Formats: sequence, structure tokens, C-alpha cells
Amino acid sequence: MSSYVSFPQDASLDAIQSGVKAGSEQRLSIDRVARLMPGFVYVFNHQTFSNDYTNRSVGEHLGYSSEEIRAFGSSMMMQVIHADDQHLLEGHMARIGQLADEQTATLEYRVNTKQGTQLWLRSVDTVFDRTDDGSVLRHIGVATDITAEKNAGLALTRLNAELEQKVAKRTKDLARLNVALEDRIDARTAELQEAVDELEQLTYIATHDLKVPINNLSRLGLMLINGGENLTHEQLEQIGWMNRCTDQLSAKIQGLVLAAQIRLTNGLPREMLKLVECVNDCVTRVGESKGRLKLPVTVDIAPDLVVHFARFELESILFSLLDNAVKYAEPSRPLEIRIQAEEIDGNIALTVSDNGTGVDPVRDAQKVFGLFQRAHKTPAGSGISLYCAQRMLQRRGGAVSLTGARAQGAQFTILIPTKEETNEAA
Amino acid sequence: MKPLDRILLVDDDAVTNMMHRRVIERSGRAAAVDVATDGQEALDIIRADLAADRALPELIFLDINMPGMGGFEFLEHYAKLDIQSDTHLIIVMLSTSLLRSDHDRAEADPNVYSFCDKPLRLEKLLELVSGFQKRRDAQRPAA
Repeated sequence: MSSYVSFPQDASLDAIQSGVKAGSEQRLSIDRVARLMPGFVYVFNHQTFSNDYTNRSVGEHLGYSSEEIRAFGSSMMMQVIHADDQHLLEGHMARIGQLADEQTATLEYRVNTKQGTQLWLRSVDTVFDRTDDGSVLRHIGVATDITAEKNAGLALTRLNAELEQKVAKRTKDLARLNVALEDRIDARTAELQEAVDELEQLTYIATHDLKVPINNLSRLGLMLINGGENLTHEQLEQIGWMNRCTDQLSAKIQGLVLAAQIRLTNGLPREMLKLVECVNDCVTRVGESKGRLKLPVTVDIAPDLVVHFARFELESILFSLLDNAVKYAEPSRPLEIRIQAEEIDGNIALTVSDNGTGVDPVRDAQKVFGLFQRAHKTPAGSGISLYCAQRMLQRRGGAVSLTGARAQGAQFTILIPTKEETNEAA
Repeated sequence: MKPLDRILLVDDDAVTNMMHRRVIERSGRAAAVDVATDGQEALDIIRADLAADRALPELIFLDINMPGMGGFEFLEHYAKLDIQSDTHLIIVMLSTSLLRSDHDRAEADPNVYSFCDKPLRLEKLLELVSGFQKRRDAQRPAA
């Protein structure tokens, strides 16, 4: 680098820049400026490949005496510039050769001090004057010690690299943990699935095998009554009770079979169903089941609203909700049912509201959705349909919830996710 | 020993109520049997007795699982009723529940005298009635 070819010379700026016409005060001032300037100012001659001017000896700054620098001779640059940065010089000189007036070229490089430490310098060079053919004769430059900022930058880079390494390692650890966790979840899910399958198989077998003795019991009860001429009134009455118990047992078992069978509808394919059509069909079906009754239902559903669900299950859920709204009408006021639906946060939310006998969301929720449980004493019911509806929804990532108040009415809201989602263990 | 004046059966199952009524009537240990088919109906009966300043049933057989108000919910409301401390009334939880938590909950309730299986057998009824009468006589000041 030009600044290091630092022959001890006392050339002053005005001496080399003969064109400058100025008073003695100003000459003195330029000298002072150059001498006191923090950093190295130099003028490098491209023909002699040496400095015509330096404001101070870079060599001395690096710890070398004038004698030592003289002894380096023309190998000065090679001596002080860090071996790894020497290759940068050629390109830098070439760049300066191409500079237009007032353009600058910058280079950052390391130099070795006599004490064996390294300093970073930044040189900013611009054309000083040109030969007649316009090529650069000399360039003027200033070199600044940027060791501190360079070291800070390097430390930052090193820290960044370390940090990146740590992050990479941590990411790898996490990935490994994730895999382990997924394996454990898979194993646990498989165990749960097995337990569920076993339980349902047990329920299914038990309920089917129980049906034979129950049917026999029922038949025997009837035979007793039919041949009971010699029985007392009280005995006949008790046989009647026994038969009622048999019927209850039969109904409960039928309920268990239904609940167990929900699982069998698991494989039913989802379809894109127009919700308003399903609801209207359901209104008709419930009306027919109540003796072709015209139901007081208002349906408020956009005609283009579709749900992705198994048709049989959706129809069954809607039927349960509507059937309950009709069944639990409050006799003292005309029944009003409203069905509305909209898309909210990735779910289709459908609400069936009625002004019937109502339920308390806190006290009754467990009874409303529990198997064989009922929130109302009358009319009679089996406590199965809403349990099944809830299971069917939960299994496909949906839900059913309850609001309302006793004696005022009930609102059942079902949520069906718009995107594929399953919860097979539900 | 003089029979009880009144027993209240609280159960939603009609056959169970008829069977229990028959067991009680055959035992001759109660002059009257009332039936409520859920906790709310039972509360209504007791509140009506209190309002009319009538004697309360001496023995209540209470089912746990009923549509509407169940047995435990009835107990919550019963605890808040203004019943005089010298009233002789015992509540027996009747259930086939196999749940340990149901037994624990019933036993923890100070108003529950005991817990017994359904359907009620004659021997158990006699034991409960005599248990009640001994307790009542022990609490009564000596005549």
C-alpha cells in the first residue's frame, strides 16, 4: 500500500503542488492540517511506485525506527502488510488507475506491528494529478486505524457464528425430541385405540348376547300372565312390573348398541352438503314423525353454505336437535324454533333455538349430553340421541354446546370444522 | 313399636317406587308412603309441609340419578331449608351406583344417614326403621 512506502522525507504539500498560489499564512495552515490530521495522509507516485509525501511515518507508528524502515527498503510493503491481504493491492491500484476525478477507492487491510500485533487500516484514495495522456500520475489518500471497529465487527461475526451453531444444535435437539415425542404419542394413541376397540367390542358382544335371555324373560312373563288364572291380583300385578323391567332392560341394551354402533359409522365418507337443504329435509322428516305436523320453524341459512360431513351423521344430529326442540315445547306458549347458521373462525356454526321448557347450561349440560341421562322428567326419553350427536361431532373435530335458561328455552349450537380434521379417539 | 307416620320415596323409576311401596306396606312399619319422581318434587313436598306446619316425613329414600333434579342436587337444596334441629328425619341414599365417588359423597353429607342398595329389602327396611326409632328415643328427653 502506498502509505507504507514511507521514505523519510520532509516534502511539504505546497512544494509538490506547485500550482497552489497562497499566502504564507495559508501555507503554514495546510501544513499544520496535514501534520496534525489523525491518520496517515500520503501522495503516491504511480511512476516511481513510492510516496512523494507522507504526513507522518506509518512505519514509526507501527513501532519501527527510521533506520529499520530504511533497512526494509522497497520490501517495506511486503514487510508490514499482512501476508493474507497483500493480494488485494494489485486490484486496488488498478481501480485507482480507472478513477475519474473526485471519485474515491477504498481498501481495508491488516498490517503487522513490530510488536507482532495486527492493526486494521482503511485507505481512501483519489486522483491527485494526471500525466498528459490522462493516466493517473499520483493519488492522494488517507489511511485510518479501524482496528477497534474491525475487531468489534469480527467479534460480532464470531458471536453470530457461535450463536448460529448453538441454534443449529438446539434445533437438532428439538427435532430429535420431537421425533421421540411423536413416537410416544403414536404408541399411546395405538394403546388407547386398542383399549377403545376392545371396550366397544365388549359392549357389542355383551349387548347382543344379553338380548337372548332378555327376550326369553319377556316371553316367559307374557306366558305367566296368559296362563295365570290361578294367580292373585297382587301376583299378576307383580308379573306386570317384571315385564316392565324387562322392557326397560331391553331399551337400555338397545341404547348401548346404538351408542356402540356410532363407531361403526366412523368410516362413512364426508360429502359436501348444502346445509340449508339438509335442514329443510330434516324439518320435513321430524314433522312427519310427529304425525305430519307443520313445524313452526324459521330457517335462516345462506343457500350457498356447505358443510363437509357424513350425510347420515349430519341428518341424525339435526334430527335429534329438532326432535328435542319439538318434544320439550312449553305447553303454555306457541312453540317457535329458529335454525340459523354461519361460518365463524373456520367452523360452520349452526344453532337451533327454541322457546320451550329450556335447560340450564351449567346444571343440565352433563345430563343433556350424558348417556342415559336426561335433564327433564317429562316427556319420557331414552337419553341417547344427544350423547350420540356429541360423539359424532367430536369424532370429526366438531362440538356441540348449550345455552339458554330453564323455563325460557334452549339453544344448541353445533360447530363443524370447514377444513379436514379428525379426532378419531373422541 | 308404633309405625312411622310417613316415608317419602324419591325415585324416577315407576316400578322401583311400586316395589318399595309394597315392601313398606307389607312391613306395616309406616302409616303412609309418599312418592316424588325427582329432587324438585321432593323439595316441593317438604316445603309444603314446612309452610303448613305439618310433620315432615321421618324417612326419605333418595335415588341419585334422576332426570331433572338428582339426589345430590336435592341434598344441596335440602341443606338450605329452614328445618328445626330437633326434627327427626333421616335420609337414606338408594342406588345401584357402583361408583366409589358416589358412596364417598353421600357419606360425607351430614344429612345422609346411610347408603343402601336398590331394590330395598324388607330386612333392610326393618333395620332402618328400628335404627331411626332408637335414635329418636335416645334424643328425646326421658318421659
